Amino acid sequence: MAAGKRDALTARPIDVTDGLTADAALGLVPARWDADRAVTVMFGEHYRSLVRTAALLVGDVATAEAVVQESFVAMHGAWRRLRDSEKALPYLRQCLVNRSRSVVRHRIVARRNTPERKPGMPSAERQAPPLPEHAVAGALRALPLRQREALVLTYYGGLTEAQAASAMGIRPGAVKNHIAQAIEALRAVLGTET
Amino acid sequence: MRPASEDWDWPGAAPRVPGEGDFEDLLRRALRSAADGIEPAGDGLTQIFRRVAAPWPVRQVSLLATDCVDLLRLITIWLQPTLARALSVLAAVGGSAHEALRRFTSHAPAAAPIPSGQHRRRQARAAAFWGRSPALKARARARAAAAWLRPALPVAVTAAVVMTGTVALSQTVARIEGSSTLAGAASATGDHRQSPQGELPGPGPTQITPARPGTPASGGGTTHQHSCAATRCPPGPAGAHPSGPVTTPSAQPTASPSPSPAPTPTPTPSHHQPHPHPSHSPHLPHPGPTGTSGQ
Repeated sequence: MAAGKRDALTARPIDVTDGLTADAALGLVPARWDADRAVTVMFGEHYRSLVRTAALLVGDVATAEAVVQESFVAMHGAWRRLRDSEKALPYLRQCLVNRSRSVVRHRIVARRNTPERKPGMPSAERQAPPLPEHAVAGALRALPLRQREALVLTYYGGLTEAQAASAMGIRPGAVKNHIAQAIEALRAVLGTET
Repeated sequence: MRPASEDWDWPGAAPRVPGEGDFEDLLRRALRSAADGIEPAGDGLTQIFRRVAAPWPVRQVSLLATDCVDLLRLITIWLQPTLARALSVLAAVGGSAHEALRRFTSHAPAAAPIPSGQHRRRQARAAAFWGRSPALKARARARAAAAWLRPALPVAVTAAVVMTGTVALSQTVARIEGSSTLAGAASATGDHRQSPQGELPGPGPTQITPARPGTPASGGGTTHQHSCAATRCPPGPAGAHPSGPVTTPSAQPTASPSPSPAPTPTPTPSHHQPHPHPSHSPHLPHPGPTGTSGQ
């Protein structure tokens, strides 16, 4: 797709449902056009909040951007199946959570197998731009992965337990348990500091 | 969107304690303040469409490459202790080799430890290249030549032994074959008549037929069978003898019902056919391992 066409798409306001209606009316409309348009619309509406959510999950902004961009690429590829903006956002969240989980697991494995750091050795984590709120970010990073996801999705993302459970791929009851355990852990860490 | 503090009314949820709502609000505000300072870069959409615009194989290859890089990184991390140990061992070996080379090339051969054979060869080669005196070079060359001779000598000895054994074996086989040929020829000429007849179940003097000049093999073979039965000839394979059709060990001295009292100049069929007398059945020729003697 040409850059001019993409600029034109991003310049004018786009209604995703308008594109879908036209798609349903015309029958065979190139799916690529719909996917581009849907990605553009979803990007304008949700990219920033998704990046912030991912940053809370993975701990740094650059990785969060990469994760969200990969999620958008996945959504673009799956648009033929989705065909609905109501399904696209949960799909994006699910991709976001899965990819963030993969990143965090990679880091856990790498950290587990990395030899002990010497006092003078520079750390990659220290050189990465830290999140602004150090206390909360540090406490979040200390949480187990599922508890962190449940807490961020519900307390920052404003999702219901059902939505968070759908994004995490677990049951809502498990989300509640994770949230309760996370709050207990955070209270033990932050409550003493505050 | 709904406030998260309403979520604790479900059954199974954690019991609400005083001040928990305050803590949740505090936590929510802290999360928002931590995340609100994050501003993504402005080229996000461009990068997304750049990834999307790439052809499918390129995208797959890039994803595969990313995964492979991650995998290699993990493998490197896993193998890092082993690699560090191997490097330290290599460094130690290299240091000792360097020290040994330096010691060989130094001017103090008397101070060097007593070298072993391989060590001496190395020393000779090193001295040949780096040696200081011609005498040392000549010694090194001689030792190098001796070092090449050492494996050549056992090979030569082994080859000589094999060749000698082959020649001796072939000669022995030739002698055996020659003696058997001579024995066959002698039996063909009727030498078996000199065997002790009292012990032999062989043909009696009345039934011995002189071999016809045209059939030395059949006659000899038959008589050889008899001689084998008499002597301690092992029950070898039947093919070892030039035997024709199996003949019953003719115990003719006692059992021949032949009415003809005089020997006939032709071979009697009793030598070539199973003897009808039941008392002769135990005297069948040696049951060879292959049973071919009964052919």
